[in-house]
Amino acid sequence: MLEVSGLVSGYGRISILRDVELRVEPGELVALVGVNGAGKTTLMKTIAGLVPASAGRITFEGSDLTGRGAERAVDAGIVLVPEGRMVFPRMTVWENLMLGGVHPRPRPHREAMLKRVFDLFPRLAERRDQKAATMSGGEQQMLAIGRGLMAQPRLLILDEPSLGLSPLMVQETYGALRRLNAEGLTILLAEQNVKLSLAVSGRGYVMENGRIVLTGASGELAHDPATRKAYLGRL
Amino acid sequence: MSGEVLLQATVQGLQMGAIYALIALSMTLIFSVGGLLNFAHGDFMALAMYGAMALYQAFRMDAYAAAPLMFFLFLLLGFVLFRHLVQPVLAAGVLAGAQLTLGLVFIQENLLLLLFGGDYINVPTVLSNRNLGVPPLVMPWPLLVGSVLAAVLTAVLYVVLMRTDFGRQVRAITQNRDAAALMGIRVGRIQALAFGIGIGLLGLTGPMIVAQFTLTPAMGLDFTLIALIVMVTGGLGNFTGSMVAGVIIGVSESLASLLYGGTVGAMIPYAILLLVLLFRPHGLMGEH
Ligand SMILES: Nc1ncnc2c1ncn2[C@@H]1O[C@H](COP(=O)(O)OP(=O)(O)O)[C@@H](O)[C@H]1O
Ligand SMILES: [Mg+2]
Repeated sequence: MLEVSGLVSGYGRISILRDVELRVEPGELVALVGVNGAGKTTLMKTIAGLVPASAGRITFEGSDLTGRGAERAVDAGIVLVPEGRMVFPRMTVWENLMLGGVHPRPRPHREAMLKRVFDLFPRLAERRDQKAATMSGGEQQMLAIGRGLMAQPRLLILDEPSLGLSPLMVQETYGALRRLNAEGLTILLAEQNVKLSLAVSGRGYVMENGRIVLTGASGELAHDPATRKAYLGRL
Repeated sequence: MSGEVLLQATVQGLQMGAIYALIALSMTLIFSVGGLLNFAHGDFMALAMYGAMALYQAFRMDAYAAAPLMFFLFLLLGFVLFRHLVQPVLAAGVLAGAQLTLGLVFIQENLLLLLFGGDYINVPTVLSNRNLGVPPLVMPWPLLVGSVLAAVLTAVLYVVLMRTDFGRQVRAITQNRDAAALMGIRVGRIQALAFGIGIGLLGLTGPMIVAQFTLTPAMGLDFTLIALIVMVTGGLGNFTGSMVAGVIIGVSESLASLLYGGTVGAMIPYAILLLVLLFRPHGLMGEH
């Protein structure tokens, strides 16, 4: 479904990613793990068209998305829920969700999607008219995911969805991701939280210094000493 | 000082305030989508006034009839200008953008000087020198029409910004540009449209209030200053703030002119700006 090959990208003249290879098949939940600064966010942003690639290819369902920008990625069905949530702070929950589906492709289906999002996160329905900035971190993460879903993704990419959340909120967020995946949504997940992300995913990639250093079934990766090494005992 | 005179000054202040609010709101619109401080703001309005004057001299077209025409012309001008000039320069930073608009000031002022000379010009309209008496008030028709239109346009623009998909996209870009891009919002296009609408509103407002002004090539500066003062007083980039500050400054200026003379009145916008910034450094409705 998603195929990244030989990808090089970075900021200005500094390359962060080096020769990255990554695949996601339909229906999978794939984890990308690595320490802070490994390049996970850069990879997610490059796939989503926010950071330009300087070499390599990104194809999605057969069409080449390399260097085509964020609008084209959304059009194809790739939606990134960014690190730090990035909800629109001075807008209400409802306005944030409407914006999630403002692209011409999902726009005609916004009312139906809104219902599904409210079913998945009833708390968002309760806070419909509340400004995003006034909500807790966990609620903002729900909103960010809900906003991503409004774009009717075929591939949902999440960057550090558990960052800064209370254990209870982490559970709730991951419960929602599991449910979405069980309903058939393809998910790519970047996390520093190795244990958690390898527990929910089927396959995983380990990133270090802008390179993929290890890949395999998540169950095996979790017990691979090399993964541990990449984490200096963080597992 | 009789109550009637105070009432008269207040009404006149409200009318000026509505015009200030509109000019500042369009400046805020332009600022909000890309951080561009448009120092040529008033000069675009002056250009529109001269345009109305030229149409009158060439075809005896009344300024009020020219206004809608100027709206579409300026909308297009703004859109094209943004795409081909502002956007590439703004990519180098907001400072470069501000320098560009300063450059536009000199280009427009000298263009007006070249085309129409430096003489003071009045543009007659169907409403010039007519008053509406609603005892105890006497209101000049041009100010009444200009301010009512400004109030209507301000309200329409406000509703568009707050209640439509276009407005939500504008605010999304203001609040988090990267996140907006991630929704598939075509940031450059929305910015160009916002800039176009901001300039278009000046094209519309200029002819609507031309009867109250004497045209001179450098007149734009006064409008720019008042728009800047109102925008900063209300809170940079805050639409509600611009509207509220426009009305407050218009009314205070008018009342102060009446009570203490025109010199004091002219100082009032600056005094209000200073006071507000002293106690609320981010403006009346500014956040952070
Ligand atoms: N906007 C940026 N400009 C320049 N360098 C950046 C930028 N964002 C991240 N980097 C650098 O890129 C590297 C990878 O960062 P990032 O992709 O955020 O890693 P991760 O998400 O795995 O923590 C880091 O060394 C970081 O300092
Ligand atoms: Mg990161």
